[in-house]
Amino acid sequence: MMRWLKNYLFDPEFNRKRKFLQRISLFQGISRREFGHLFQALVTRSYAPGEILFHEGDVGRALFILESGHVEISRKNPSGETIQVVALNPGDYFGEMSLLDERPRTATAAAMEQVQVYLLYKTELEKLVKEVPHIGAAIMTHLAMLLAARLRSITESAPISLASTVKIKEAV
Amino acid sequence: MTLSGRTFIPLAILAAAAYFLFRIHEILLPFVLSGTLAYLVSPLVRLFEVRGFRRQPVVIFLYVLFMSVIAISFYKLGLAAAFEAQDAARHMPTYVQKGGEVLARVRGSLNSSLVDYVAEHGRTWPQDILSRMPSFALGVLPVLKVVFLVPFISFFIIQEGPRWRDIVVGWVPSRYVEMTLNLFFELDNSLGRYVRGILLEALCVGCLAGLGFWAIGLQYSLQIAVVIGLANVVPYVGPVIGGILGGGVALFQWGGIAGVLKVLAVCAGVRVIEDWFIQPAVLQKAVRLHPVVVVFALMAGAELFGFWGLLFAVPVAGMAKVLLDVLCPWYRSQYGFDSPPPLPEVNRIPLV
Repeated sequence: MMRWLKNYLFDPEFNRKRKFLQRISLFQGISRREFGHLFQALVTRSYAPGEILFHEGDVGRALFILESGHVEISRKNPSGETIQVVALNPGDYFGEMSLLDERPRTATAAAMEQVQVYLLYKTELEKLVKEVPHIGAAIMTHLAMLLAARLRSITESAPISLASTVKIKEAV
Repeated sequence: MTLSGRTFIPLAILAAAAYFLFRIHEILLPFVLSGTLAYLVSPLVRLFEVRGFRRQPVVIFLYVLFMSVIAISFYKLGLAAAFEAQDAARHMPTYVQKGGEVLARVRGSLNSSLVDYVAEHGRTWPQDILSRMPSFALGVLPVLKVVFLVPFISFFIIQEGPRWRDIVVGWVPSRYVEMTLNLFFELDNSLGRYVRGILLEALCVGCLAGLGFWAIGLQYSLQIAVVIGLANVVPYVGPVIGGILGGGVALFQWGGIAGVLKVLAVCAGVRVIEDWFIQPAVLQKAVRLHPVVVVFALMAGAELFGFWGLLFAVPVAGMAKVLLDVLCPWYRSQYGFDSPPPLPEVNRIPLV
């Protein structure tokens, strides 16, 4: 009886989604009890094989979290050829740059098979920051750390050229 | 400028949908009211949902709770209204006498044709009203239909909740998903706040007016306050209705202009508190419309759809504003008419 009541009252999807999202580094600082607020901010959508999630150059305001399937990220080189940058697996997330700066996407994302994604839209992230600051701060901190790590890796791989770029821009 | 098929087909579908909705607008009312009720209840459902509860048992629990509260309130209010009506019937001869005295005084001072008209036809008005009661009772039937339909439809709307949004987002071509989401969230934020805010405001205004009328000793202050609260849902109408109703009762109760002035002072006070304190607090982030737009929307709503058009004119105008607010910047940024938001200055700072 108690088991039936528990199954009737509580959503088994809730635990499944929580277990999946807890594994994602973006949501590391969020406690088990706070995930309910995060679910309210996420929108689910599926894409057919070959469907484009977003095009390079489109203005975007959402972050995508890949739940199932694989997504190919590609971009055009200066000569106009399309180059595959990376293939993403379930649990990966992408599109965080446009989420933060609302600028055109720097790459194209296409579904390689039937994929299911969670979308975190900018307005909802801002709402989380205001209404559940702990979750908003955890996500923003992680995104800032990610960008810092990327910048650091660029600096370390090309320290001289970057330093000279900074000097040239200072002079300008 | 030529329209390509990709632009023309969605526009044609939208235009056909708008025309279809206009043709069936008379049956839309229960759906619009159900959507409004769903907006009101959704934050409560969310309180449970974030704790892992299923939506369905929560909605059933809240429905049973609401229906019980509404049934008890109707019973109590019905009893109070019956007592007040009994009281009004007992005092009616006094009111009629006082009204007659006031009329005689006004006639003496003004000798106006309006007063003559009221004196001549006033006695036949109650009979006229009574003779129209059967048709009025028949006119109430559609309202009863709405009263039964609204909880039924809203139950399913609330139970589905965000799944409606996910279904629509699933239909939209992938290129427009983010723009559609933006539209959804902006509409949801602005309209949700507006609907909840306007009802909270109506409750506050009703309570304040009731307190004010009770303080000056006006009879039937509870009933008048309820009417003011309900009328306040339509912008600018609440205080006017309050002034007319309260002023009328004051005229019969005290038989002079001093009572009317007291009532008008209470209405003005409520209006000031509403404008300065309640509105900024409850409608803080709801959609903001210029007063001229509000008046235009009210008149257009009343012209097109009568009373219900008047009631829903402002939220619909708010939706139109949100649509423009979302679609115009999106169009401009998407097609390069707008420069993106500026980035923080990075050039002068070395990478450290």
